[in-house]
Amino acid sequence: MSDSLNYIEAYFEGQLSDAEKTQFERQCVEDEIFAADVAFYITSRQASKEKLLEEKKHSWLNLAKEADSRPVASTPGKRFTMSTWVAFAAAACLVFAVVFYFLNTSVSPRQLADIYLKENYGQLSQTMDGSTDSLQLGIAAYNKNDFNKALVYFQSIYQAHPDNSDAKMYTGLVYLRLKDHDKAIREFDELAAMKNLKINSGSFLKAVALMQRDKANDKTAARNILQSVVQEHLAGSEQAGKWLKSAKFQE
Amino acid sequence: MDLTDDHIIDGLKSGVAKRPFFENELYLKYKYYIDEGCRKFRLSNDDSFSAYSDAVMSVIHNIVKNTFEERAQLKTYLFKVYSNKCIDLVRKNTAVKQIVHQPSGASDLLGQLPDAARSVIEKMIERQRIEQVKRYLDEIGENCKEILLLFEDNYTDREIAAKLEYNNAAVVKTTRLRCLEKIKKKFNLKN
Repeated sequence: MSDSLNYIEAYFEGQLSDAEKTQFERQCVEDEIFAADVAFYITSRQASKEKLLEEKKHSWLNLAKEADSRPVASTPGKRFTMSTWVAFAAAACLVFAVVFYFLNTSVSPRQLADIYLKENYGQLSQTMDGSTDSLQLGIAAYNKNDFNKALVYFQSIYQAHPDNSDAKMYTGLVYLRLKDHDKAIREFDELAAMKNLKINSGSFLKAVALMQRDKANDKTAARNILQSVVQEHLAGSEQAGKWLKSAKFQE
Repeated sequence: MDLTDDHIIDGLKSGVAKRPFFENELYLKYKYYIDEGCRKFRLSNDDSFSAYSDAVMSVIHNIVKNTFEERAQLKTYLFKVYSNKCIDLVRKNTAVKQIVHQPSGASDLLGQLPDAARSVIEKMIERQRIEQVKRYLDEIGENCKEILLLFEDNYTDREIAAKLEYNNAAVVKTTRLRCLEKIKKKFNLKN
C-alpha cells in the first residue's frame, strides 16, 4: 500500500498533529512529486464524488418515475351515517348552484372570450411530422409566447400566399394575444371575406375580439355577429349559440 | 404517508443498513421543488433535477457528518441549499463565474490547504483529468469502485466493512488505498 496516499489521506481526515500538518503543507510547495500525488488524491476524490452523484441521480430518477406511476392508494373506508350523506348532498347541491349561478350570470362576455381563447388558442397545434416550414416556425414561436417573431412569420407567409387562410387567422390571433384588438378585428374581417373556404372562422373570431375589447357598443356588435354565425351555420355556431343564451348577452 | 423530517434525520443517522431507505424518502418528500425550480429560476427540468439531486446529496452529507445543526427546519434548509444550487446553475448558464455554493465533498479538500499549498495543487487539477479518473473508476472492478464510492458517500471504513462483509475497518482501508493505487498507475501511464 502506498505510504504517500496513506499520509495524504491522514492529512485530509484530520489525523496529523500540528507539526506534521505544517510539514505536509511545506512539502506541497517544495516537493513537486509530492504535490502531484496530492493533486492526484484530490482529483480521484472529486472524480469519485461526481461518479457517486451520477449514480444517485440515475437511481433517484428511476425512483421518481416509479413513484409517479404508482397508483394512488385508497384510504381505508370510513363508515358514514345517513345524516353525513345528507349533509354531503346538500353541500354538493349548494356548490352546484353557486357554480351554475356564476357561469350563467356573473361571467361577462369579455371573460367568456378570455376563457375561450385560453382554452382553444392558448397553444396552437403543430403537425407531428417535424416539418420546419414557416407556418410551423410561426406556430412554434406563438407557443413560446414570442408573438413578435410569430407575427413576422405569419405575415410573410400571407404576403407570399394571399390564399393562405391559416396565416391570416394566426395573424389575427397574434394581435389578440398582443391585445391589439383593432388590428385583430381587421385581420378577422379580411379572413371572413375570403371565399371558397371549407371552414371560415373569421366572423366568429371577430365577435370574440369584440367581446374581449369590450368598448361601448362592442357587446351589441358581437351579439349581432354571433346571431348571424348561428343563423348561417358558420364555424363557431355551436359556441355562439351557447353564449347567446347566457344572461349577460341578454342584457 | 410521508415520514416526518425528524424521522428522516434520525433514520439517516441510524447506520448503514437503513440509510439508503431514508435517503430515498428525503429525495421523494421534497421532489416537488424540481417544478418550483423550473418556474422560479427558469431552469430546464434536467437542470432543476440536477440541482435538486446535488442539494439532497449535500444535505445528507451534512446530516451524516453532524454539521446540520437543526437551527432551521430540514425543509427550509434543503430549499435554501437547493436555491443556491439553482442560482449557481443560472449563473453558469449565463456565463457568470461567481459561485454562491461550493460543491461539497472532494473539492472541499482543496479548501483545507493553506493559500501557498493550495495555489500549487490547484494548478495541477484539471477538468480533463477528473473525467479521466471517472473513466478509470469503471475499469478497476466493481468491488474497488463500490468501496471508493461508499467512502465518498460518507460511510466510514468500519461501516463499509459491515456492509460489504470485510473482516474489519483496517482491511477496508488497505483495500481502498490499493484501489486508489490502481487508478494512480493508469493515471501516471497516461499523463
